[in-house]
Amino acid sequence: MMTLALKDFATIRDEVYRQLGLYFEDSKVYFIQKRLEKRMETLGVESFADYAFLLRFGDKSGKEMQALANLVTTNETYMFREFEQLQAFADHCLPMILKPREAANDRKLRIWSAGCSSGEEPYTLAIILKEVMHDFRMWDIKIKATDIDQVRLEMARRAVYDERSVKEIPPEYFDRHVTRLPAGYFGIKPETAKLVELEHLNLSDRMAMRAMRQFDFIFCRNVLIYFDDASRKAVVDHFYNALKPGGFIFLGHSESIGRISTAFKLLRVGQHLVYRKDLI
Amino acid sequence: MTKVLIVDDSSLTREFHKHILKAAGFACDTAADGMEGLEKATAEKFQVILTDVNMQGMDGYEFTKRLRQNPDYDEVPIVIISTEAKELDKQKGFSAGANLYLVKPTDASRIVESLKLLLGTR
Amino acid sequence: MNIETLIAGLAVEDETDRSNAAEDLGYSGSAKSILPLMERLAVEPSRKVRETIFAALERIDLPEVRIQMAALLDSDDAFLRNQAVGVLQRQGAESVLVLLARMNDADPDVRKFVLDAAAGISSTAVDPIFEAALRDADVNVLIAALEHLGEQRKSRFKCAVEEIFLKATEPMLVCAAFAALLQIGDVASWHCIRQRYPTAASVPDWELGWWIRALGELATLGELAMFQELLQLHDKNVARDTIIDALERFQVRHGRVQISDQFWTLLREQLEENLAPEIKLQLLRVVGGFAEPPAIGKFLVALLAQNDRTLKLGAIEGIKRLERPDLLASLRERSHLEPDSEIAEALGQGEEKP
Repeated sequence: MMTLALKDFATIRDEVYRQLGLYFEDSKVYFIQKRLEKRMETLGVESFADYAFLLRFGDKSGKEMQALANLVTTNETYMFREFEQLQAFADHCLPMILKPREAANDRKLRIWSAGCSSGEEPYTLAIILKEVMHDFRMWDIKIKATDIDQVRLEMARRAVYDERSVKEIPPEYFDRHVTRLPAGYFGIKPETAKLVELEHLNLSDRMAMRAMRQFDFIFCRNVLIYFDDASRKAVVDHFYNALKPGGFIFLGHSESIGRISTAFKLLRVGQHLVYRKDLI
Repeated sequence: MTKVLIVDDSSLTREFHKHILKAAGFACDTAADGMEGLEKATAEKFQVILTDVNMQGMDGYEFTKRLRQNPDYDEVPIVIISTEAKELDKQKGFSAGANLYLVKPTDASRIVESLKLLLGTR
Repeated sequence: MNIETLIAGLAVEDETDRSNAAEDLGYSGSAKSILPLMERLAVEPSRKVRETIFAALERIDLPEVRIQMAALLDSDDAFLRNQAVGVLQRQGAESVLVLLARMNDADPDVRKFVLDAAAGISSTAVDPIFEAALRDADVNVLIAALEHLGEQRKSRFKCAVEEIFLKATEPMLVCAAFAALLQIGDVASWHCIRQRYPTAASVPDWELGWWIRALGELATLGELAMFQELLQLHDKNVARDTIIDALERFQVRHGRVQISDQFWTLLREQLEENLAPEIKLQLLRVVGGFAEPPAIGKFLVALLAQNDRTLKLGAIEGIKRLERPDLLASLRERSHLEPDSEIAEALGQGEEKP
């Protein structure tokens, strides 16, 4: 019999938060515990207490923590994923950037989707911008979408998706931005897709990262958890430099900047917490 | 019920203070460093904050300073509880915006009394 | 890139450029970078750049860095102190020499920071630090030592911890020793605990949590009734989840124990209480670990018919823990009819897939 104490699960939860900045939501706890049990069986670990000990003191390379990260996160990507967070972006954060720009007649907006995979996120952002910005044509908008995986980038370039990827697009937006293709596929309309500029980029390549500058928003959702401590710090360090003063960074909604950096300001936006670079 | 946020990197200390405060009728939540404390305090309103100073990431002074920048926490009592007893440390605590500075290990009844006094209840 | 150029870059106007210079110095790994980085720390106004400087120093990973970090432990600046602790921690066993040297510092705060750094270093190399700390006159150093050696499960210090536990009067010190004994204690430790606290009633409120965990971790088979006493105390402050966790541990140590009808009734009554769902679920799982009078199996199976999701999942977990083949088979049969995918998987449908 295994010992799966609540208190020790809480310790594991804390340790994952400390090392990956990932927080287990209450609704996911049962699911995570089951996955954890299976993992422990594979390793021959008999208790949550021993597993917590392993994570804290027996995992110098960080491999087990990474295995755990893969176990408890779903790698699926689809458009309008984490809808409420996108709403917070559109309703609150975007106006905070746009209003002063408009007043200063400096209608330029730059967004970076870091770790864009097959493109669902940047195209989602493109749709949102076109829908919520009333004078959108007067703006110089660019969404830079980068990923390390060339295969995924190629998929992003084609901008063709199956039903799973597009099912969360709000119905009122659908026909304006999506074309129905044969065999049950869907294409992002060129008018929308052209806002997105795709590029190959390794987030750990510090020279390439330094070339990324003057962004108003960086989206890096459910990506950082797959990095080790030192690499994650370096990436966030570069993100800070890549942002304009007052720029925002969005991580996954159950991710935290945690101990990576205390240089960002924390803001509450609706039900969400966002991180912002200081305005000078 | 009065909600207190306990911010400390020592799980022993968090648990110890949690037991004491729960027994005294407070609802408790905890955080292991300043940033986590800031996130929890920003996401929901606490009536009183108890924070350590020396933590990885964001320390207690920085946490206190930033929390005071949040208008929701203008009037909320913040108590620093730290192992450091020097006058300079206490001054730093008050400059950061703390209402009270206690030195560890502090008597359980003293902590409870202090919180109740700060909250204007007995 | 030229080290001298990078060093000069630490003082330029632009924050990003300073940050990049610091980062590159870190990657250079050059010992020549260390002092300039330290000097810049003292005057750098940007928090962000200071963080980058520490990351750079950590990357350099030379003894000189550790000497500099150890020197920061008595800094008046909390940010510098805590960053230094972090670097020393992450540089591991290599940091022990400088840390041990600082255990001679007259300032107990510095000695406590040494313990904080040692907390994250999992190696027998840190043992001399703990040895020194256990003889320390300052109670906070002692508390930190106990907490960390317990977390690291350093059982060689068991006797010293028992001695402290028996003699201590300062409540937090007692708790620290108590918590450490839970990690490294044995039968002899349980005797110490019973010596100080013969009954649950003799335990101060704030130590009850540790007492309960000690029951689970160290109590003998014959002491099962103490759990019953605890549940009967009906004190809302006696945390139910702690008792359930302790019961589970007790089961795993002693195997399937038989419980009395009164105890079984008491456990069932807990479900009527206002417990959080995850605690109810845990309770139902744990009851499956007892030697099963037919009552337990029947009770759990009856819960499967309820609409409450938590009770259903708990019952499934409890039945699995019972390890009765006939009941397990019936779980799998039900899984095909279950609309809720998470419950279906729990019932065994998901598990049958490769």
